[in-house]
Amino acid sequence: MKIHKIKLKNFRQFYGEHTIEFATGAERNVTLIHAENGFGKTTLLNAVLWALFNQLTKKFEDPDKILNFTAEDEGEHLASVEVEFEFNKTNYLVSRYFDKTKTNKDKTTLQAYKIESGAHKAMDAPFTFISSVVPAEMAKYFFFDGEAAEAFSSAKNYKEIRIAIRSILGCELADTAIEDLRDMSKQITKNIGQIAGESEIQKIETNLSKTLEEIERAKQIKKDIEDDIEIFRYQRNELAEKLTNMEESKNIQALRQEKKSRCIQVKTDIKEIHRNIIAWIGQEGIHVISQKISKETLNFIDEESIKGKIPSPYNEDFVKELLEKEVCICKRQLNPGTEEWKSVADLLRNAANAEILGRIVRARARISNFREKCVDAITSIEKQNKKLADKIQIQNRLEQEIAELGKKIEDLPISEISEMERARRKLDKKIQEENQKIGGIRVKINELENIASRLEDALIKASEKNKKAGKLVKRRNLVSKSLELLTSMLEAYEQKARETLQKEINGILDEVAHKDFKCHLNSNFAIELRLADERPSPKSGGENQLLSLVFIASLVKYSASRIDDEKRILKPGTIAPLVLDAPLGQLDTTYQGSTVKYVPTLAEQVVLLLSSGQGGEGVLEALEPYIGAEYLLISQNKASKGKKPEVKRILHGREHLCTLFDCPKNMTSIERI
Amino acid sequence: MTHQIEDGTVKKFLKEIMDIERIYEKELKNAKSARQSELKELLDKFASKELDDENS
Repeated sequence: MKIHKIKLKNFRQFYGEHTIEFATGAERNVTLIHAENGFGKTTLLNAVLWALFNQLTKKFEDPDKILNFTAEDEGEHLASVEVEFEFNKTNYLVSRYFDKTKTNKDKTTLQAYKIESGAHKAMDAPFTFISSVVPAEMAKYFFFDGEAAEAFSSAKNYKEIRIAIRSILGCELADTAIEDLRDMSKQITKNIGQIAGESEIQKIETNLSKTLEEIERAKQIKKDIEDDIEIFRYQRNELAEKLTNMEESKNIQALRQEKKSRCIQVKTDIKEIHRNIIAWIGQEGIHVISQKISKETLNFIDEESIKGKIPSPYNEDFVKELLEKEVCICKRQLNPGTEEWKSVADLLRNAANAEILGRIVRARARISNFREKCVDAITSIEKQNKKLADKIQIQNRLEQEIAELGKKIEDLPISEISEMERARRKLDKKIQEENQKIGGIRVKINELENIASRLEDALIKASEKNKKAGKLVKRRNLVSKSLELLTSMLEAYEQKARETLQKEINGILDEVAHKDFKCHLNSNFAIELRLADERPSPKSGGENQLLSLVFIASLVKYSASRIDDEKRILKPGTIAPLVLDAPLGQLDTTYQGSTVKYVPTLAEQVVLLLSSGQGGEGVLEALEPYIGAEYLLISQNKASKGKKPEVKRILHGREHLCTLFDCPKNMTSIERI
Repeated sequence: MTHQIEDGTVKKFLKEIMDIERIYEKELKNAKSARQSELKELLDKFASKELDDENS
């Protein structure tokens, strides 16, 4: 999708009609709109969002006051926004109207037209059509309010980030399917319990329903605790960052962070040793376990050999020769079929031959090898145990030192610092307690799932005698399995998206960030910046905004990469313009220049709405090769200038007045530069 | 478990569920509509064809 132009009529401060034509070039793909605060940047962003999706950003004040006040005073009752765009090589026009005379439900109307050879052909289902161009749930990430970017860097950022990723993935359809499958499962379970005359089935069904409800409740509690932990973790890290930045505590805090990093490394080493020990049990354990039996077996073979029992003292060839010659070793005649002949022939059963001799040699060699390996295995496990004991000792020492350093900070004679440290320790304790709770809940869920599985088996068994029940059980089984499959597919998609986005974000950060940090998009979707040594990096306001901007940029790129993705479970991605309102507000001038240089590459079409604080010379210079259209919003005021300062902008060497006084109306006008 | 269902059958059923969800995807979330009854109908038809044998 590429927007060609928008036309506003009496929309908020834009009195009368105003048109903006957007840059659509392959090289010059940026439209730059300059405006001071309050002149209408956010209104323009909202005009497009409103026209296409009937959405408005969170910070858009008085969302029900769409009609321009002056126009309203003059008796106008209509406001509108038209968006003309290209999609799949065809042009379309979407218009949304606001009519103040209509009741709430009918206040806004939407129309869409296909433009063919200059003629406008009305479309039957405009909303459905727009949703197929850019799904409504993805819209706010393409039409992005930079001033609201802190949503991605706050304590609860993981929620916003997960919502954003799931929206771009297009999970909505699958989510509805999950809800529907759950409802179907509940209904079938209820129907099973209502089968007349089957008290056993009813009893099992009641217990099963109760158990499944308990599992759902326990899972929800676990999720709530995980959310709490995430918030505590964020608050704790913030306090730790503040302590690092305070002169009096920074040395101790830095030392503590260093020890914490070492402690994390030691814990990782301990986990690795535990893994080695488990691997040892699988590979070498058998040699140690069989140590006694192999010793006894070898002794047995040796003893029997000495006694002459292994191998047998009778050689097979020798016995065969006696039978063939029909003469015993004692010279007695051996007539076939006689008792004497049978006695000698019986010796063949245990007589030694080349194969048996070979087997004995191989058995002896194998057992000896086992015994040698046992010695090596014991040496190896002793080494691992020693390593483990050393690491545990180091871990205990480090934890003690960390606690002592914490106490030192707490004892500093500055109340603000000691209070912060106490609060940090409290949060640490809370996190520990909540983690313990989660451990308990995991065990409970596991037990309940085992009970549910047994009850399901019992239900299947009981229903075998009842045809109707049997059919219902089969249906419920099918629905449960489908639910499991869909849930696991969604989790896998989310996981893949998380990994791809993390890579994408780090790729952008490598080019624009001034510090050597990496972004980590955790398994619970919390986003954080970490320094090269894995410590969380304290973030300034600017870095928070940078991270949010880079996250949005990565989402937009990811969406474009998914345009041809599988469409069965998820919605495919989309290509749409990236409209950024005030994306550079908190960045310093160096960051603004390096970041904005990257923006034109983020999407096929980019619209930047910038105030003078963000659109300085450095930014304009970086964007110059990409600008295809440029506008300035001018505030016109009926009032006289009086003592008010003049607001001017110098753009490309020319001075522009941004506020005009003694004008016939209060309004914002749009001037193309 | 006596009533084991083949993975292929589950995938096929899920595909049909998603086909119905896609037909109704533009309607309001959580809206009570023909979707639920169509899903129920699908379950009955699918199960009769794929799961219920003559002797059960």
